Amino acid sequence: MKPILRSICIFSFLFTGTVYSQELFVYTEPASNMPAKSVGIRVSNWLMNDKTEPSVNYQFIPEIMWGVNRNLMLHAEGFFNNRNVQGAGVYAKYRFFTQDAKNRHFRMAAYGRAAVNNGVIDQEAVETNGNNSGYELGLITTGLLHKDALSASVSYERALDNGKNNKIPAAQEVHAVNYSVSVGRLILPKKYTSYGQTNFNIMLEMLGQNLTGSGKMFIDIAPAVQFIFNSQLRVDIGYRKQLYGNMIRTAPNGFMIRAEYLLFNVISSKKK
Amino acid sequence: MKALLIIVLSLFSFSLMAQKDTSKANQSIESVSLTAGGLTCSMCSKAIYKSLMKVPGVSKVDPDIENSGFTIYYKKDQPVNKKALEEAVEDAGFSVESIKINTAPKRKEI
Repeated sequence: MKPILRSICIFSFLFTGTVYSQELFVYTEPASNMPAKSVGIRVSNWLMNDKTEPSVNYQFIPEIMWGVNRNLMLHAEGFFNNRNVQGAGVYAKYRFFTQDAKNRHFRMAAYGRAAVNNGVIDQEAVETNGNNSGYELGLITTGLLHKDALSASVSYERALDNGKNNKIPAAQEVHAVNYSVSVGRLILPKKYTSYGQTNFNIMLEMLGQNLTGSGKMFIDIAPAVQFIFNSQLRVDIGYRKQLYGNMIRTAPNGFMIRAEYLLFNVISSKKK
Repeated sequence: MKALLIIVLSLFSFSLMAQKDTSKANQSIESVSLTAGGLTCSMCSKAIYKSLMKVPGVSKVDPDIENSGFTIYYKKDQPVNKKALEEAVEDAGFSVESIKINTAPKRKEI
């Protein structure tokens, strides 16, 4: 357990005191939703170091996001890797609690993901966002105070047999509990004057998973930088590193590069 | 005498009311000042800005990103619909902290 305690200490040290952050986290979603009647296009590139061979495990996940209304948003995503087309998934998030005030909010949301995947199951870690067929159900809570934000999530994830006869090995655990804590910091601009200013944020997230039956676990740390151009185009660069783990994972460490573009109010009635 | 007094007082109060109505009629809506809650970043502010621009009758929105404020201007002779403005902010994912209609005295016609 020492590595976990060490990581918690590092995490607390880095983000104690005056912290300026945004909640557009890189490895997790905040409890807030995208604007209603808007569409987002997101492309995520995962460049992870393969532990089994000296190569990069590349995974490409394009997503289309839709703000259905002020409380509900949907994602449709595809999973591709450097070997083949792997599968697809849908994600929904519903914001059920909102407490807003000037420059602050506290929000809670429930989310779910369902995915089908045809890839070979070569690790114990359960990941319906790209590796496993299955589903995930979770809760997120996010607080924003002026420019400080803190988010936490917990979820239950269930792996099912993958397609093309890629079944989960009989002795392998299929139930997992995930948890995360995320914070960030707004570096630039110091003062907002226009939508054209480039925003620069840094973030740090801790991501963990426990396999409920076997007791196996991992805990990762994931620092990231984020640029937001013209208040509409977001570019994230993150690095995920396993701090502690006792389960089989094929590629736990590596970079993620993501671009996301928001099209505001594209699904709405014509203005009179 | 009593009846005369009542008539005089009634006429006086009617004239006061008429004066009040005239002062209202001489005012016109200049803009609407709105402060939104629940945001700090420019991406969130832009979402509200885009949503407000879609409200019927709105001609221009001046954002104050730093203070989550918006000054909303309407097209000539368009009525202000406060509910529509509030819904636009909520659709963007935020709340209305304050909303104030700014009026200006009508210019005298020569």
